This record gives sequence, C-alpha cells and structure tokens, in this order.
Amino acid sequence: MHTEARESELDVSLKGVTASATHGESERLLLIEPIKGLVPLQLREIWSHREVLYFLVWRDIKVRYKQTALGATWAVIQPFLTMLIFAIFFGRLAKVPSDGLPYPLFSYAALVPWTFFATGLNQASNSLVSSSNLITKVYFPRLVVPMAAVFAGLLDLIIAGSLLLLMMAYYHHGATVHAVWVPALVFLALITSTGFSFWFSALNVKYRDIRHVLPFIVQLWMFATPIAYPTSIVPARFRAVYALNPMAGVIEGFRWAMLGSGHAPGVMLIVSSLIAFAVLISGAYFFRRMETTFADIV
Amino acid sequence: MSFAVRTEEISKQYHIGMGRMPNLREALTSALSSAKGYASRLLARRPAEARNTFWAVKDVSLEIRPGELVGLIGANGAGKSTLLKMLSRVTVPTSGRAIIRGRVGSMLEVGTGFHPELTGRENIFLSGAILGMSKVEIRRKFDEIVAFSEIEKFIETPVKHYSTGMYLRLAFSVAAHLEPEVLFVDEVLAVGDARFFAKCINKMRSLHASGMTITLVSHHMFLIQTLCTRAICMSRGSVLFDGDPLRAIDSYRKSLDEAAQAVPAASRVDLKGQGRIQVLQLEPLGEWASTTEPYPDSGIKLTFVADAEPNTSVGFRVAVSSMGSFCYYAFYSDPVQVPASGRVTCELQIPELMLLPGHYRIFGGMLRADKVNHFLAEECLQIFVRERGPAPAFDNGSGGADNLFWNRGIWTLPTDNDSEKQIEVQGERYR
Repeated sequence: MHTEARESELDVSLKGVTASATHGESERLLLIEPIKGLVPLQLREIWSHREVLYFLVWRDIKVRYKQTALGATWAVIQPFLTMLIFAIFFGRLAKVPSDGLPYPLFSYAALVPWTFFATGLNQASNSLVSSSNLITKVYFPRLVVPMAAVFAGLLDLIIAGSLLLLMMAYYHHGATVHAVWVPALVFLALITSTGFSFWFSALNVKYRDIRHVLPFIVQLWMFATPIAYPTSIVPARFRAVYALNPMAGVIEGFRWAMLGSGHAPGVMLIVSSLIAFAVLISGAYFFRRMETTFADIV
Repeated sequence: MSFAVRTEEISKQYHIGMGRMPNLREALTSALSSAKGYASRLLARRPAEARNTFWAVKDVSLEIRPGELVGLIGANGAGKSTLLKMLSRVTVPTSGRAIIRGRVGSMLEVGTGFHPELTGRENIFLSGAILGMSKVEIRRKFDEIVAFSEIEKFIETPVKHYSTGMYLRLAFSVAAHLEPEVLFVDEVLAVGDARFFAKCINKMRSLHASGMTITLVSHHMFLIQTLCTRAICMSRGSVLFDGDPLRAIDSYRKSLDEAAQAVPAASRVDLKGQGRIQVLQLEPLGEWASTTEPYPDSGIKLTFVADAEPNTSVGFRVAVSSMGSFCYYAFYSDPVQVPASGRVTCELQIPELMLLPGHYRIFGGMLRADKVNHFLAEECLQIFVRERGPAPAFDNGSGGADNLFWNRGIWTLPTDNDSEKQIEVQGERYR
C-alpha cells in the first residue's frame, strides 16, 4: 500500500519534469521522458557528480604532461615566450606604454590569467567531441565535461603565477595588499572561460566549424584585451564598449592586484562580472538544451 | 505489483544520416534570411521528416520486476541497444516514458572512460568514477577489482601497453564491481578467453543472486538460456516475444530463419553439382503420435529418396541443428553405388533424440563419396521438441535450461543420513 501511494504521488509530482530523481527514504524513482521547453539546470545533480568532475580534471592534468620531456615546465614556457616576443616588439621597438612598470613584468602579469582563459576555452570547446566515447556510453551531467577542461588549467595557472612572483623579485617589485583580490579575479576568469566554453562546446558538437574558427577568435580577442598595452591608451569614448569584454576587467584587475598598477578598475570589474555571469547562465541553459542531442550526433 | 523498470510506449526516432546535420554555413544563411528560423533551427528539434527518419524503438511497453535477470535478444538493428541507451539516460526518448526504481548502473561498453596513457590503477579510479562509483567505494573494492581482473603485476603499467585481453579483463572488472540496484549490460560479457568468460558469467549469477535487477543484451543464446529468468526478443524496434527464455530464443531464431530462407536454393554456394534429395517420411519410433512434435527421449525414423548420376558413389548425411547454425550431431552413411536408374532410397533411425525442448532443424543431405564436403543436394525439415511432464521439484526455475542436451540418467539414491551428507559435500566441491 505504501509503495502504491508513492507511485501515484510520482505521477502527479513528476509530470512534465525531465529525468529527475526523487530521493525517498529507501528508494528513488527516476523518470525518463522526452524533453520539451526549457531544460532545468539540475545543479544538485552536478554537485552529486563532483567526483566525476574531480577525476576528469585529474585525468586531464595527468595526461597532459605524461610523456613530455619538459613536463609541467610547459605551463610556463608558453606565456613566457609570448612575453618575450611582446617585450621585444611592443615594449622595445614600438615603445608601447606600460603604466610605468617594466614591460616584461607588465605583459607577463596579463599573460598568466589570459593563458589560463584561452587554453581553457580551447580545450573545453573540443572537450565534448573528444570525449564522444563517454557521451555515447554512460550517463552523467554533460556540463561536467567542459568544466573539467577549464578547471584543469588551474594548475598551470599556479605554476605560471609562481614565475610571476620570481619575476617580481627579479625586478624588486613588491606585492601589495591588493593581492588578496587575486583569488576572486581568478574565479572571474574561470567563470568567463566556463561560460563561453558552454556555448562553444555545445555548438561544436553540431557544427564542427567552431573548432576551426575558435583559434582565430581567441587571437582577435587577445588584442581586444589589455595584454600587450594598458587600457589607458584606449580612447575614452570606446571604454564603455571595451569594458564589455569580461577579460578586460579580469586582466586589468589582475595587474592591479599583483603589481599595484593604476587604479582599482572597479566599474570595469562590475561590468565584467555581470557579463561573465550572464554568459555562464545562458551558456548553461543553452548547453542543457543541446545536451539531449549530443549522444545522437556527436 | 512493484517494478524495477517500467517503460510506457517508449520510442526513439533517428534521422537517417544523423551526421549530416545542417552545417554552419547553412545555419548562418538561414540566420540572415530569418532570425527566427535560425533560432528554431538551433533550439527546436526539427520537425520529423517521415522520409528521412526511422524508429529504432517503437512503442515498447514492458515491466521488469525487482531481482529479475532479463535477456534482450534480437537481430542487429532490432533496437536492443537503443532501448538500453534510453534506459541508461545516454539518449533521450522521442516519445513515451520510462520509470526506474533504484540506483541505475550501466555497462554499455567495456572500458568506458579508460585512458590509454594512464596506468591500470589510475584507470580503475577514473572509469569507476565515471560509471558512478564514489572514491571511497572504489578504494574499498580496489583489491577485489584487481584480483578479479588477474593483472596484479601490471597494475602500475599504462594500459596502452596491455594486451587486448588484459585491457578487457580490467575494464570488465571495474564495471562488474558497480553495485547498482538496476543494471543494464550491453553485449560486454564475451570478453577474454573461455575461462574468463565463465568467470564473467558467474559474476553475473552472483550479482543476480544478491538481488540486483539485470537486463542484458546478448547474441550468445547459450548465455541467455542458462543465465536469464526471462527473455525479450525484439525485432525492428518492437517486442516480438517476452517470457520464457527458451521460447524467446525460438522466436529469435525463427525471425532470423525467415530472413535466411529468403535466400533461394539456387544461390546456395555449398550445393555443387546436380542431384535431388527428398525426405519421404519422418516417422515416430516407439509409441508417440505426432511426427513433428517429439519428446526429448523420442526416437524418429527418416526415409528419403535421392536422385543422382548413375554409377557414381554417393554418401548421405543427416544433421540435427539449432534454428541458428549450431549443429548438435550428424550421421554419415557409408558410400553407396548409384544404380542405373539413378535413384537411391534409404532410411535412418535415431533411437533417442536427446534434444531439449525447442525448435530444431534436420538436414538430409547427399554428398559425393570421393570428395570432402561436396554436397549434391540437401533438404531441411523442422521439428519442435515438446516438454514431457513437469520440471523436477528442485529445479532452479529455468526449466532445466542450464543444459545443452537432454540425456537419460539413472539414479540410485542412498537412504541413511551419513551418506547423504557426503553427497552434499561432493556437490559443493563440484560447483
């Protein structure tokens, strides 16, 4: 009788709900149905699969440096070489201003969060396609896949960040108390990267063109972000548009927090955060909507 | 009655050539022509186009009770895997719905989540987590998984250096140590060598005995027959038969046979040369009436007539096989000289069929006596072996279907208690 009541309860309460699990005292019921309309995000389900996320991040990190002669040094080489090139061409030859800081320090401090963002976006956008063997064979919330690809970059960020500290020591540039903002700024970069990854990875399943377009987008994006130059050289009338790029706020903020350059980019950061969260949430919903077709078309 | 899995007219429609979705250019073109069209192309499931779609699964309604071990059989493309994919939530049904009670686990593939660069140990954790085990759970079962897979020595070696057998064994072991309440298994049992296969089967048995509800897809009829308490035969997306495994296998073989019989005799490559053979009579031996529905212990007598080239030497063969192509036994005659009339009549008696209940085929063939496997003609008959009387009292519920053959055995049972105990001990050791 007890279960009978439960079943009818299920019929009423789960009608129209997609693949949701109700936790009973001793049993749980899972409803599998076609999906119509807006798909709920099921954040609780993602939370309950946090170990899958953990293991995917762990796998990505392990695999990335296995069988590479230089191992984790690669995390430093890429931003460091870019910094050298920037320092020669922009710093020395073009004499791009650097807010009164040594140019190498100025550009490297920006390249650390940027590399994290760009690598994460690139990896995550291909993540669904490259884990097609998982997607067609086992169920878990698919949002975890691009998330893992972005999160895996955090270790590289820490390694590249340590070099920044060494460089600061080399230039006798002391850290400021603003450094307490660094974790929040890294979090913002993470949100931005994850949000755009949701969009691009879901689109990439259906339109493989994304994979070819993305490197180009990322390159353009880098020049629309104050990495090789300071925001101060952007004409004032374009600043409002410029701030719409959430990475602009992150980079300016990071430089300010680590090196104490310029003023706290307060307004810029608020705009960046709003946009980053909007992209994250819309991306998550878009992803969930597209998710139902992943296994069929990937 | 409570259930573990219930599907209500669940269906899945696929687009033919699913890979050829509109590409970005097409989508962008439509974006320029109509923003609304772009949105609906991206967001909405495109309306079903009858010509370019097919139903992989259509209106399947079934109920699986807790603790059942159900076999899912059918030809390739019958919809078995699609059904399991929907129940495992890998793909979303097009219509209908399913309700599952309890924690779900699925083994749709061997080695889900395995990464070639990682070691055996690392892959156990990775694959285990992806399949739904917690870190604590994996740590607890780690030794058991390694022991089951028998690759202790190589546990710190990247799996890319494993042999195929080792890889499959490890992968299966991880999946087999999931502890869901409802498990879906898609054709993954036949991994490794015969000994490991037997181990997999025993693992399935013990999972079933522990109360797990298992649904498994297999093309291995022997497995379905020996393992399952119930079998569902699917054909072209719907359920053809649902119930006793033996009957389900019959219906599966019949559905295969229908396709096989569509091949005209003229295109059979195994028949060489001119010749005709015809079975004149199939008679019962002993006291049973029907000629086409004997009992396992019935005897039959076959009389047939053959036409061949005069003055050649021919031989006859009668083979008894399953509805598939598994041959149980065959009888070969000594060579016979074909008389000037070109006609030979002969007779074969089989005193005891020794077949388990089910459908069988009897092939009567004529061969050239001086050449190996040179068939001149062949004819096929079908028989259905009936069950005689009820199953033994302590039968395990599979209707004695754990076996390949029927045979006669005569027991002499002791009466005093001491020797009874001894037999029990022996039985234990044997198992």
